[in-house]
Amino acid sequence: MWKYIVKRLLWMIPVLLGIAVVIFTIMYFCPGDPATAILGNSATPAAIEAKRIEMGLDRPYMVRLLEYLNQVFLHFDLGTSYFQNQPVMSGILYRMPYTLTIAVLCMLLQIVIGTPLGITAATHQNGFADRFCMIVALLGVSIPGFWLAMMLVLLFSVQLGWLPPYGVGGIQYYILPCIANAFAGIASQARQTRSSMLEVIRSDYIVTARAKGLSERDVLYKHALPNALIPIITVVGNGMGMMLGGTVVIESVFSIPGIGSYTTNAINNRDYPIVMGGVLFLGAVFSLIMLLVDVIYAYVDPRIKAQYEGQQKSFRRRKKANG
Amino acid sequence: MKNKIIATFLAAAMTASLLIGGSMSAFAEGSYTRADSEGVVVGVLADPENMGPWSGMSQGRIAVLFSTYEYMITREDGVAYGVLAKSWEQTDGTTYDVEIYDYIHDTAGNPLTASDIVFSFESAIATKNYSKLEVIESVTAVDDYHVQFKFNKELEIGEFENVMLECAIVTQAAYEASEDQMATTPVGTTAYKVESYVPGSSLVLVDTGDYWQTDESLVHGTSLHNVPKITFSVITESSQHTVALQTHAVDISNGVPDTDIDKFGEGGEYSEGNEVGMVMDNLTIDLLYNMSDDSIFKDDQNLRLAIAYAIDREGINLGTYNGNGSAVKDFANATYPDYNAEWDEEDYFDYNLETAKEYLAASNYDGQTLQIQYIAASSMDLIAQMVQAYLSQLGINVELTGYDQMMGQSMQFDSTSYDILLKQNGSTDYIVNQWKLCWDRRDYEELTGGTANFVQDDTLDELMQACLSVDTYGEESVEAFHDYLAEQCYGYGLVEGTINIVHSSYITDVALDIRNQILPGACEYAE
Repeated sequence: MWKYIVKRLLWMIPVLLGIAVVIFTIMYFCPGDPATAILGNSATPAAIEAKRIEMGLDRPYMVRLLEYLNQVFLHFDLGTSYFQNQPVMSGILYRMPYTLTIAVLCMLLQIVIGTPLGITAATHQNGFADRFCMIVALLGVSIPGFWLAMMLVLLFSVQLGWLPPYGVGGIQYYILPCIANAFAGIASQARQTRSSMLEVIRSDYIVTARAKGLSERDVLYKHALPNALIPIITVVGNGMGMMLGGTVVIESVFSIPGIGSYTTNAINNRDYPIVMGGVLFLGAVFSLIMLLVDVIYAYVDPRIKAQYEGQQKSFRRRKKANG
Repeated sequence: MKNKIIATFLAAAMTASLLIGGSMSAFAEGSYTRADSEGVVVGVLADPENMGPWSGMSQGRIAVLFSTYEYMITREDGVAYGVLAKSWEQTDGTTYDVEIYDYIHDTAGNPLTASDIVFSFESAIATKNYSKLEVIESVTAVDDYHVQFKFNKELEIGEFENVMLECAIVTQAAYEASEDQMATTPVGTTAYKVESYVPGSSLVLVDTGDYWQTDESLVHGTSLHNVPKITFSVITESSQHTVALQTHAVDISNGVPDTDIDKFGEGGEYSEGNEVGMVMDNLTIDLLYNMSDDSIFKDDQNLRLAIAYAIDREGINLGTYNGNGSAVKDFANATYPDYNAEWDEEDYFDYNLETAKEYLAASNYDGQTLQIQYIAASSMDLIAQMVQAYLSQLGINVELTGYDQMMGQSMQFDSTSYDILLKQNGSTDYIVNQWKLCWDRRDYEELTGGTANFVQDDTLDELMQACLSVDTYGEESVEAFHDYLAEQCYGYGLVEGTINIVHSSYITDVALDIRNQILPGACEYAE
C-alpha cells in the first residue's frame, strides 16, 4: 500500500509540471501586463516599457518558462508578488487557513446533510420524502452560489440581523459562506448517495439480510451503506475540489482573505507569480485529496486494496520472470 | 434517548452560534448610528496589499495612502500647500530648492531631515514605479533642512508639484528598521499609526496624539486627524457595500453601486441615519477616433463630425448618472482651475440629428460595422450601449467590445482592434495635463507614430507643447488647443460622472483627496 502511495506521489510531479506549463502559458499570452498596472493609467508607454524590461517581462517565452519551472520545481520557490513584493508562498500560507476552514466546513456539511438526504430519498423511493429530497437536490445544483450567497446575506444579515454579511472573525463569519458554498455539494452528495443506495438495496445480499430478520436500520447502515460508499467517496473527493474552487467566488462575495480572493485580485492586476502560485497550490492540494480518496477506497473496500497490492505483486512476478 | 440528547445539544449549539453571530456591533447615538464607538469605519473595495511607501499603485493602496504617509506638499482646489515642505523656490531653469520644517518626526519618533527626503526620493526612483519622477536628475541635501532638486529638463506646467506629490516620505531609520519594507506596518509622518492589519480584511489606524505639526494653521486636508481611530474595512463585492451601510457595519463608503444610491438618498428605504454625498468626478469619459492610416476616420472629418453630432451627451448623462453628472464641453471637464467657463456657452457638438445626417451624407461611410472598444465597468457598459443606440439612429452599425482594465490598456494601442475608443481620462491638477494623456505625441510616438489614437498632426503637436511649456502656458494657448481639437474632432469629451459617497449622518462633512478618495481624518464628525 505504501508503495502505491509513493508511486502516486511521484505521479503528482508530472501533473504539477503540466499545470505549471499550462498556467504559465495562459498568463504569458493573456493581454495586459503588470507593468501597466503598477505604474497606473497616467504612465507613458515608454515608462511602461522600461518597467517591463526591469521586471524581465520582455524576455522570450521559453526563457521565462524554463526559469519559472526551475524556480518552482528545483528551488521550491513560487516567486515574489509584483505588487506585494512578498514571497507568494508566504501569502498563500497566510491565507490558507481561511480557505481550508471554508472548504472543510463545507465538506462536513456536504457529508452530514447530503448523505442522510440521499439515504432517506433511496429508502422512500418515489414517496414524498424522496421527492422532497430530490427537489432540494435539484435546487442545490441549479442555484448559482453567488446568488444564494446574496440571498442569504439579505435574509440573515439585512432582515434578521443575525449574522455578519462579510469579513472574518469568529465562527459566525463562516456560516453564510459555508452554506452558500456547500449547497451544490450537498445536492450532488444526496443525488449520488440515493443512486448508489438504490443500486445496493436491490442486491441479493440485502434481501438475505432482511430475510435473516435484521432490523431495517442494521440492513441499511451495516450492509447497504458500506457497499454503496465507493461512488459516495468519489463525490466527496470531487466535492472537496469543488469547494476549493468555489471559494474563489465565495471569498470575493464575503470579502474573506483566502487563497481564492488572493488569486482573483492577482488576475485583475496581472500579478503572474500569485496567479501561477495559487493555481499550482490548489492543483497540488486537489491531487493530494484525490490520492486520499484512492487510499480511503482501499480501506473501505478490501477488493480494491487487494487490487492495489495485486498490481505490485504481479509487477514483482513479471520482473522476476524477466530475470 | 442518546439521539435525542445529541440532537438537543446540536440545536442548542446552533442557536448559541447564531446568537453570538447576531452581535453585529453598531452604536446608536441620537439620529445616527456608528459602526465603531471609538472611530470611523471606511468601506474600501480592495486590499492595500502592500503599504510600502514606494510600491506599485493599486486601487486598495490609493484608498489608504494619504492616511498613512505625508508628501512634500498637498493640493487643494488646484492650489499647492506645503506639508513637509516649508517653502520652495526655483533657482534656475532646472533647479529647485526646498526647505522643510525642522521639527518633523514620524510616528515612531524618528526625526525627519533633508537626508531622509533624499533617501525617500532616491528609493522611489530606484523602484521605477513612478514615471513622474523620471525627470529628476539628482536630489541633494544642502543641510539638515534644505534639499536641492535638479531636473533633467525644464519642467512643464504643474510638473514640479506633481513630482512633490508623487513620493511618500519616510525616515531612513524607520524604513531600515522595518522587516518588510513597511509593507504591512507603514511608519509615516501622519498623525496615524497602524494598530493592526489583517491582509485582505481590515486596516486599523489610531491617532498617536503626537502629530509633529502643532501649528494648526499649517495643517491641511491630507494631514488632518479629526477622528481618533480609522478602520478601513475591505469589502471586495460592491453590493456588499450597500449591505454594510444598511447594517451600519461601516460609516462611509464610495463603493456603493450606482443603482443603490437612491436607496440611501432622501426618501429612500435606507435613508434613516444615512446620507449621500455626490461630487463631480475628475475623470471624463472621452470618445477617440482611430486615426491610423487604415482607419475609416483618417481622412473623413465628416464622419467624425456626424458621429459627434449624433450622440446626445445630455441623454448619456441622464441615462448613466441620473442627470447628476454633466455633459462636458471640452476633452476634459469643468473641475480644472484652467477650464474656461465660456466654453459652457459654446456649441460643442450639441446633439443635432439633422446636422449629423448631413455630415454622414457627405462622408465616405458605406455601411460597414464600426467597433467601439472600452474598458468594461457598469457605467461604461451603459455609455457604450447608449452610443451604440444613438449611432444606430443615424444608420451606423456598431459592435461593442468591452475589455477588462489590463487588457483594455494594452489593446488601445492596437490600431486594428477598434474604430472608436471610449476612454476615461483625468488629471489631478490642470486641464492641459488631462489633454496630455491623449494628445502629447512625445509620449506615444514610439507606439502609435502619433498621439494615443494615432493622430499625426503637427499643428496639434505645437499647440499641445505650447500648453505644456511654462513659458507659453496661459489662457491663449489653452483656448487655441481647445478650439483646434474641437475643429478637427479627432476625439471629444462626452460626460463627466459623479462620485457617490454614502455615509452615516455621524459624518457631517466628507473630505476627499486629489484622487477623490475618502480622507477619513479630514472628514467632520457630529459631536
